[in-house]
Amino acid sequence: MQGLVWRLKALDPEASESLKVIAYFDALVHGHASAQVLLSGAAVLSGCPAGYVLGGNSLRVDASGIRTGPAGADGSGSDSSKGPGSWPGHDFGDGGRIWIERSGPAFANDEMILERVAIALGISFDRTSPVAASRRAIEMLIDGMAPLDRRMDAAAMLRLDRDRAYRVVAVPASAELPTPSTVIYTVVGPVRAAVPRLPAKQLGDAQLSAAGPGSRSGVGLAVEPGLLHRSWASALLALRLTSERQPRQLADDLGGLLVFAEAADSSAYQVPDVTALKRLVTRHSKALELLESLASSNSLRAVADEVGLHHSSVQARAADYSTELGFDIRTAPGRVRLSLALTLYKLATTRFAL
Amino acid sequence: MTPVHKAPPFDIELGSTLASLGDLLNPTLTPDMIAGMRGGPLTASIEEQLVGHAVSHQERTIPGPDGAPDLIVSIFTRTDHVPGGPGIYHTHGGGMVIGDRFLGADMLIEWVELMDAVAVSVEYRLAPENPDPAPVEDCYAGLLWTAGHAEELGFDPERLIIAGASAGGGLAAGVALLARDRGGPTLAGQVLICPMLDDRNETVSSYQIDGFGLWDRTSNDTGWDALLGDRRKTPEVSIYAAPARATDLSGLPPAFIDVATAEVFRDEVVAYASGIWAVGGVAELHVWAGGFHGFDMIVPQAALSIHARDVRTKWVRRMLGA
Repeated sequence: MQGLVWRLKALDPEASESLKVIAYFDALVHGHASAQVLLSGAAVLSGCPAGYVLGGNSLRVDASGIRTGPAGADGSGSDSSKGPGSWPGHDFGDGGRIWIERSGPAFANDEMILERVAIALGISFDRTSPVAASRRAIEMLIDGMAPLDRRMDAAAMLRLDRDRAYRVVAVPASAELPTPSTVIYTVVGPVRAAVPRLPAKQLGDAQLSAAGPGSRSGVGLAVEPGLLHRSWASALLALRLTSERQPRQLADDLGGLLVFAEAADSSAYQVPDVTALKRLVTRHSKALELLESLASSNSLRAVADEVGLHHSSVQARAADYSTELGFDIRTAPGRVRLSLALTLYKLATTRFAL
Repeated sequence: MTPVHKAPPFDIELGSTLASLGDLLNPTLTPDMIAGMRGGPLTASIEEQLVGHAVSHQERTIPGPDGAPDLIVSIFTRTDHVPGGPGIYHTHGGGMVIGDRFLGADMLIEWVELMDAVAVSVEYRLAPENPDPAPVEDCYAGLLWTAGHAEELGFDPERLIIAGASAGGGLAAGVALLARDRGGPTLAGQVLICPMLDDRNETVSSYQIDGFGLWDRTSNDTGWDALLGDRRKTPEVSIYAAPARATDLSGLPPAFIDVATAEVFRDEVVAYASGIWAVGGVAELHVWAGGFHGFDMIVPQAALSIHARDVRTKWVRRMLGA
C-alpha cells in the first residue's frame, strides 16, 4: 500500500503544513464518518500508526490507515509494545484517548491532527451512543429556556408519558445512578441529573440508594414532563440542603424553604446568624450535626439519643452554642431561627466536585 | 456538449482526503507540466515497496517491436517460487506521458505473494516523444516476450492475464485487441482498472469532471494529444490506441473492468463493458460510487478502496484458479 501515505512522506514537514487538516476532519464530521475512518485519517495524515481507546473499546491502524486490531494486540512492530500513554496523544470524550505512534521528533502538523481528530472522535461517539442521546434529551428536558416542543420531543425520546408526573433526581456528579443521566455544571459544581421513568410515587429508596449508601441525593417535585425544569430546580435545591445527617432530601418536604432558598440565592445580604454559624462550625467540628439535630428534634433527650451523648452534655452544649450564636436555640423561635441559619449556611457552603 | 448535471458526489472519506490535499494534488495536467511530473517520483522506490514482502525483483532487457529499441521489464517472483503458477503481465498508468513500470507495483507484489504468480511489468516508451503506436506496440512486444518465456520465467502460459490501470488499462485493452487480431498469445483474462479508452473525450462524464478530482477533462486532452497529435478525434486513430473505437469486441479474454462514478472515464468504460456483452463476451463491471480516478491508489485506507481492491483480487484469483 502506498498512495497518500507515501505522497505525504515525500513532502518535507514544512510542505505538509499546506495540508488542510481542519477542513479534512470537518468534512468527515459533516459526513458522519465512523470512528475508524477518523482514526485512519489521522494515521494517513501523520504517516504514523494511530490508535484510540475509549471505555472498553480500542482500535489501532497502521500508517496506511489499515486496521490492525486492538491496541497492542498485534505483534507486527516492536513499537506496539509501548503503551498508548507513551505516544503523543490527545484526550477526547468521556475518558477516551487518541494517539499517533510517531518515533522521533514531531512533524509540524502532529499537534493539529491530534487536536482535530480528538474533537471529531468526541462528536462521532457523542452522536452514535445511545447513552449520549439520552444525556442530550435530559439536558433538553430540564432546560427551562429551551422551546417547549423541543422539551416534549426529549420527553418522548425518554419515553415519558405526557400525562404523568415525574421527578428529577440530583446527585453529585461523582455518584452513579441506575438510570440514564447527565452532568450539569451548576453554580455549586457538577451535578448529575436523571429523570427516572417511574411514576413519581414509585420513586422510592431503591432507586436513590443505587447512588451508594450515605451518598447524597435531592429529589425534585413531581410534575408533568413539560414542567420538569422546575422539578430540576427543586431537586438541585434539595441536594444542596442535604447533609451527613440527612443525605436524602425530598423537595416536597422543604415546603416554604424552596421559596426562601431561591430568594436567598439571589440576595447579596450576609445574614449575621450565618457568619456566627460559620465561626462556630470552624471552631467545633461536631457542632453542625448537633445543631441540625437540635433544630429538628422534639426534645433534648431525643437529640441525646441520636448523637450518642448524655442528656446533660447536650444541655451544656446547647447553652454554649446559644451564647456563641447570640440567640437561644432552646426556645421555639430560636429553633426556627436556627433552622433558617442552617439552611442559609448549607446553601452558601455546599459545593460539589467531580 | 455541456452536461446538465454536476458530477455525482465523492464518497465522504475520499472527498475529505482529496480536499485536505488542496494544492498538493493538481486535478489538471497540462502539457507544460509533463516534464516536471517526470522529474519527481510518483511512487516510493521499488526497494521500499518490496520491504516486508518475500518477493524478488529482477530486470531484463528484451527486444522491442521490429526496428524499435530494446525494452526493460521488471520481473517479480516469490522468493520461494514454485514454477507452474499464474502469470501477470502489467502495463503501468500515467496518462501515456508519465510514470514507469513501478507505478502499480504494489498491486503486483500483493498478487505475486498471494498466488505465487510471476509478474512482468514493462517499461514502454512514453508520448509525446514517442507517439502512438510506440506505447501499445512496446506493450505488445513485452507480452510476446513474456508469453514466449513462460517456462523460463516459471509460470503456466495457459494462465496468463494482462492488467493495467488508467493509461495502463487502455494499453492492456489495446494489447488484448492486438493479440486477438494478430493471433498472439491467448490471455486468460484482462484486468482493466479505470482504463483510458476513448480519445474523443466527449462523454457526459468527461465534461462533468473539469477542474476538480484527479485527471480531469483537460488532463485527458493533454494525454491524448500527446499520444495521437493531429490524428486525435479523426478516423485515423486505431482501435489499439483507443479501444473505445473498436466496433467488434468479440473474441476477447474475460474482462474485469472497474471505474468510479466521479471520473472522466466512467461513461466510456461502461460503454466498453456493454460492447463486450453485446457480442456475447465475458465482462464483469464494477462502478464504484463516490470514487474519483485512481481513488484506491491515492487513498488505499478508505473503506471503498479496500473493498474495490478486494473485489479485484478475488476476481483474479477466480480467473486464475489461484
